[in-house]
Amino acid sequence: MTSLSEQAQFEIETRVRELGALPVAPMAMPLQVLEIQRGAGLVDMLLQLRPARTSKAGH
Amino acid sequence: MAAPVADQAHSDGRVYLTRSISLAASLAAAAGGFLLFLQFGASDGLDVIDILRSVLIFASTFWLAWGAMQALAGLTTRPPERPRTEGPITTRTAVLVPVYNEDPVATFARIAAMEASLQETGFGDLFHFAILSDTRNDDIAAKERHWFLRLLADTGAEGRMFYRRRQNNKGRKAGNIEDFIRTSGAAYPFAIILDADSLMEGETMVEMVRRMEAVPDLGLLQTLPVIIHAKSRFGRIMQFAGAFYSPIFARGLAMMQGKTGPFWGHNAIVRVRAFAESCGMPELAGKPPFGGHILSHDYVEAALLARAGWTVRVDDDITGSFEEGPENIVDHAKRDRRWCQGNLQHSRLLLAPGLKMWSRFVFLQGILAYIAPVFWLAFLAASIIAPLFAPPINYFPVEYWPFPVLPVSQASKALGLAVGVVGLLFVPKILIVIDAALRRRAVPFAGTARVAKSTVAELLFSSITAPIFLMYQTRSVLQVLRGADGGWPAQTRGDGTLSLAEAWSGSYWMVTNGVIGLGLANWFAPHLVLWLLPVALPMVMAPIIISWSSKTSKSRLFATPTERHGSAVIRQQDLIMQRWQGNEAPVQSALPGQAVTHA
Repeated sequence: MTSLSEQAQFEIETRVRELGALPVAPMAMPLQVLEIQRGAGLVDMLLQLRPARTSKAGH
Repeated sequence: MAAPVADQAHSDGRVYLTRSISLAASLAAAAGGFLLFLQFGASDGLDVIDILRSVLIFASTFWLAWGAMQALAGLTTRPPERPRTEGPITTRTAVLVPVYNEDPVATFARIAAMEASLQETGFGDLFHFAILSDTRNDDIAAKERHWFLRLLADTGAEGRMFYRRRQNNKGRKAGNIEDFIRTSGAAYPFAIILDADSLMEGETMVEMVRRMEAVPDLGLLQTLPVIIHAKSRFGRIMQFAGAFYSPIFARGLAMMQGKTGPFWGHNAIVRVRAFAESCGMPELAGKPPFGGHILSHDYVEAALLARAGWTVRVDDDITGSFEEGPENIVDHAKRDRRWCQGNLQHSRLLLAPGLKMWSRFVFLQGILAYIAPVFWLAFLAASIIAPLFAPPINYFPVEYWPFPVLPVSQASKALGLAVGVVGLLFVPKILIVIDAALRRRAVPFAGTARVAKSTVAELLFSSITAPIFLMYQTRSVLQVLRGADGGWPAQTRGDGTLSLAEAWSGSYWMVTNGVIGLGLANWFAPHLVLWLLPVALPMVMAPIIISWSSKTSKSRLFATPTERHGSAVIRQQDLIMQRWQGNEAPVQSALPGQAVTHA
């Protein structure tokens, strides 16, 4: 059984939803690129240089 | 078309000239400080600690000089004529009020006051309010709904006032605004972005729209909000400083930044299409504090608008824009902790593709603002331990010379440096007082004499509290560097008085550090103890200073024009608050209340 207070809360929520609803007029908001993509440039390539792997001796 | 092009070229030239002079003068001051200290340090033989201290002096002096140059630029220039449309405005504008666990009565009373003020302009129907709730506390959310209905009933603005609560806080405030644009952005060419504690005169909002209408490539227009409703000693000093110095510093900033202006997150108007096209905020790779949501999104949004070719401007001549500030040092430090993390996070964006050079410099400035105190503290620490590294004095440097050669004291150089540093801190403010007296800007602040006394008191207070802020900022930087995320705490608003016990719990670690610092100095470098007292004493006395400054101010000093004469929208807000809290059931009462019955 719903209490009086809960019922009143429900009524308020319903009224707020009806009266306060934002206008529907969507606008796209594309995500921006802020970080340099890994491997995009020469400097990145140089920074990622690692010594070449060698196989274990004796195997 | 030739005239506007010539005007633009002239304006760009002035911006580059201001930047160049400011940069050159700051570098010169920093180099001077570096050389003076190097000579001082070398008097007993140059060692690695002397070089380290000289480098720290270079960085710290540069930062101080840069601030001083900003004030000088503001004092020596006048705001240019801003284009604006005449006659009736025609553009529909959304007024966005993001809220996050705020007191709904205070927030909605501000909205009601702004609505009344807008109606008086005759253009009220062109402004729609959107309350964008990110509140996570269900009790506060229930009160928001209750008071929203009351707001509608009081203002009769049904169809022009909206309320929505997000199910999650994705992207925090930036995500909240973004969510509005994705839902309703196409309905509004302009949006005024406010904070929950923002207040604006209707005429101010109309003026902002006029300036946006007149310049089609203006993407964002920032106003300079004035702090209001401060009651405590700390709050009123900040309020005075904000009202009296900030317009000059802001004008200097405007002269340096040209079309690459700032966004401070609120009390600004944006062109919604520009904002939507340019400011979709990604999350940074990795975890907080350096990864994840971008905390200080406003600086980044300004940079992104500029990257997309939009003009971002701060107009310091727009009045009637208000906000509230923290009432005590601890609340200020809490807010600063968030800003610190946000600014240090910008280190990830210094090399972001396509940004204007000035935007990168602004990020660097923000980082420096928080790193500079660490430099000062490192300088003090290095000075304490310097005697351990100093080579023994050689009284017989010349071979076969039978008489001792006593080293020449270089104390005058250290003194000169200290005077220079203090000058960089004090002179801009003293010049602002002189300028205010000459141009009669002091009159609304209760006259030149009161302004001069207030400035002296403010300088004294800021000197005493500087070491306390230095410690808070250093702690924030260290917390961020070791990976601690400050989260998204709701802002503390309201009274803000702190007892001595509360102040102690917020600063006992500072007292400990102060005592240890003095002890170490007494051990390793007793001759430095006197020099360190201005820094160490406020640290040791921090709880007393914090508690004292949080108490209600009864001083006649620090009067501001708004405090003395008020403003129509502030009076309106106060009346509405009185009506809602006094004659009506208090907000804590059981819901639903009268608002629902009448809605």
